[in-house]
Amino acid sequence: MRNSGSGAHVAHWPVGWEADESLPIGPAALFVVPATGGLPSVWRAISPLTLGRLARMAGDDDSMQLARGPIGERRLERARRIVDLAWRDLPGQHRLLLENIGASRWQVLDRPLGNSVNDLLISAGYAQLLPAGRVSLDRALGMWIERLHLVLIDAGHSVLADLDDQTFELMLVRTAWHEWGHALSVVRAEHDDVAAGERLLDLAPDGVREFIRRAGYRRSEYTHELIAEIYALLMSRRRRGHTGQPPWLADEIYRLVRRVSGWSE
Amino acid sequence: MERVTPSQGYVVKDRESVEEILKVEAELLRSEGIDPAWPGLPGDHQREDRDE
Repeated sequence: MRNSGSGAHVAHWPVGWEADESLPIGPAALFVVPATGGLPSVWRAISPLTLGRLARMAGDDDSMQLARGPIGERRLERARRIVDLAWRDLPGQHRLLLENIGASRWQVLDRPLGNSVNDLLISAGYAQLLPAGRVSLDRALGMWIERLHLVLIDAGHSVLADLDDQTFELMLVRTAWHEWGHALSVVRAEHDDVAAGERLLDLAPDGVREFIRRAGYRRSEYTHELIAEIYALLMSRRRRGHTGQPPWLADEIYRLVRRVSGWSE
Repeated sequence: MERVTPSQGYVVKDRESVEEILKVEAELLRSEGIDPAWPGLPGDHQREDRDE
């Protein structure tokens, strides 16, 4: 059963960042404040955009995840609404499929995903993530946790911080569609499909291939990331009234996405 | 206690990556004659109000 559309599925990180042993020490660490404390006036005076620039000046990828301010209740509510509408825009048979594989629950957060995933896993009785794993997940905009049957989206991610309303909406919709496509791939793709990831990536449109390679995924994730990205593109195309195989998509990838996602349009 | 190793998630490293994602999508759509302008989501009254 779908658990969405109510406040129950949405979590919010109310104040600041929690400092822990996994946080890097660097110039941007000046902006770390205790989770239980209020925001210092210097924090309130600096926009997320400025914080992002400061982090880039620090030249530390990890510290970029600290350079973010709370997005505010209004923007978070907007993000929740957008993801809910993105779900409703999926073809009915895809929603049913996602419900059947346990990928129809989601949380839209204003919190880096590393600690969020860690907390959820611990509360479900699993061991905590290793610190390096948590830091790595903080870079993600969204993810599907197969073991928990849950999609998480970080609406407060630093790359979304100063986007205009339309681009913010577009990126959130894209992230949600990507994650649902990813979940379908993880559950329904076969071993041979995963093993063919490198070759399939070579068949992908140039920009898609380059983005996946640059993101630094493991080779075993190439197929899932490719299916997820193509699924998001097909949904985006469908939203504009176009279905069927796009001329820019290789036959083999299209057939794979159709088999894995149940795409029939 | 069992340790779970989740996937890496949807990694978008920086603002340039956001621009690249949207640019690639727009170019693919344009290549087949589709207007890449985002039409919005059906039922999004908040957006409709904002656009008016």
